[in-house]
Amino acid sequence: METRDRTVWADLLRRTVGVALAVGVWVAAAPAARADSAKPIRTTEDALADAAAVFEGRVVDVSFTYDAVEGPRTVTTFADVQTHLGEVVGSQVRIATLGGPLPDRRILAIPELPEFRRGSTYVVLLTASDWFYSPVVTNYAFRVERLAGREVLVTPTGHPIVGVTRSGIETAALSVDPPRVNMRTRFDRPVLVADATARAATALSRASFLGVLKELGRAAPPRGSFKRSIAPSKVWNVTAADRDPGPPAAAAGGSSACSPEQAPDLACRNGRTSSSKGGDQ
Amino acid sequence: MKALVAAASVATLALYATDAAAFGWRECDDVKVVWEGANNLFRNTFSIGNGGARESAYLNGITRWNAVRGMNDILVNAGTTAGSSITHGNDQSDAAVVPASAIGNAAGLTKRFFDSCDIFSDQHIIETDVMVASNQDFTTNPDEATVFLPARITFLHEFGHALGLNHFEDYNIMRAVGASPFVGGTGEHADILPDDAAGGRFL
Repeated sequence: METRDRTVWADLLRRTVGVALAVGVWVAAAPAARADSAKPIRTTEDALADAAAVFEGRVVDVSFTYDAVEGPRTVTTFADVQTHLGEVVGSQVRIATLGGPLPDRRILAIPELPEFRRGSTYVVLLTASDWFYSPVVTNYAFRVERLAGREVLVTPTGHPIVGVTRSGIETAALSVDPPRVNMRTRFDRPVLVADATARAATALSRASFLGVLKELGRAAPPRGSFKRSIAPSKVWNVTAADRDPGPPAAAAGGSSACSPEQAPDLACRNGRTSSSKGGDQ
Repeated sequence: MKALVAAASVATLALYATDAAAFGWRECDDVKVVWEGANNLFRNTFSIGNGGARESAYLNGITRWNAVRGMNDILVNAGTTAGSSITHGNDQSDAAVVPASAIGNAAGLTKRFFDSCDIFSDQHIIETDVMVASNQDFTTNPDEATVFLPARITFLHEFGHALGLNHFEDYNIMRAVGASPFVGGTGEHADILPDDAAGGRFL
């Protein structure tokens, strides 16, 4: 709330400065991923199998926290929650995604992670895995938009969903969101593009989307439970590197240990000449 | 004069940056959030050594973006670091190959740091740490189109984030899911596509 108040004041002050500039007053200006899943998510079935729950809820608050280990977090609170599949998660859900303001006013943002807009309703897949970055299964967080009286779902980039199959989510060609995201209002409801209704004309209705998802969920049902706490396995500002196996032996003047039969093996193709897993340090 | 130039720039941006743009970016009060200068990347040699497929994939990513007309040398292969980890939030942009488990089993992940969006100055990108999962194919193998996790594409995608581009679900490198567009010919198959290039030029 405090952040929001500051934003309002900053907007007001900025507008005032803008007016001052317009009348010729010079004001000196200062110089100038993805959720943690147990395995890669390639299909809708993979996503459902990784999920503990599929819920729908309205964002009632977005706030920020900072911890030396967990890092800056954007905490989104969903209310009026309905669980559509899997574990019943209660009437309110809070998720803390890595990213947000640091104590020194810098901002960390991770483009791979979904952001949520206050006042908007979402259908979200929550992972059953331990998580550090985000508890959302990849970017399976879909905003509900009402366009011309129809409720449809859009992806995190604002593309209306026109189909859901076992293998993936199909979207319309054009996003209903503007391509620019304002850093100051990125957690507020977006102002949709003027022809949003036309762009979403072929979108599945919310009810159809949920119907297909539930049907798919019967084949690959969510299981396990949603972990409400961040896994204590990582520190936000350090990431271990993976030791490079180096160039293939042939390139170094020796003979390659990669036979043609081994070609599909990634370790071999990437230069590893033995079965060593390399160094997760 | 400065204000006039700024106003003219905003007007020019408004002309180009229509809602039909097939790329996404961030703004702070109508001013795009970009680097003030070049993005000086430091290659982690523990994970991207000299002369191997990983370095080739990394350098290809830099070269392809810099080959876009109008955006030469935006990504600079500025130096190296040697540690077995990289640090975020130290005002230095790093590139590393990491265990997939370190980035939540994503193919790649970029941590972007910005200075503040306030009333006195424009907002800028000040650090981008690019991480690519090690469980991918880093080679230029002609059969690459059949490989699900092509690291050369992932590098291109993450470098797009490092330049300031957001996801966009058209069939381009900056697509969030299943971004595996390959170009033809022999040898290198991973390149940015026209919408990506337009985004890069715009930024």
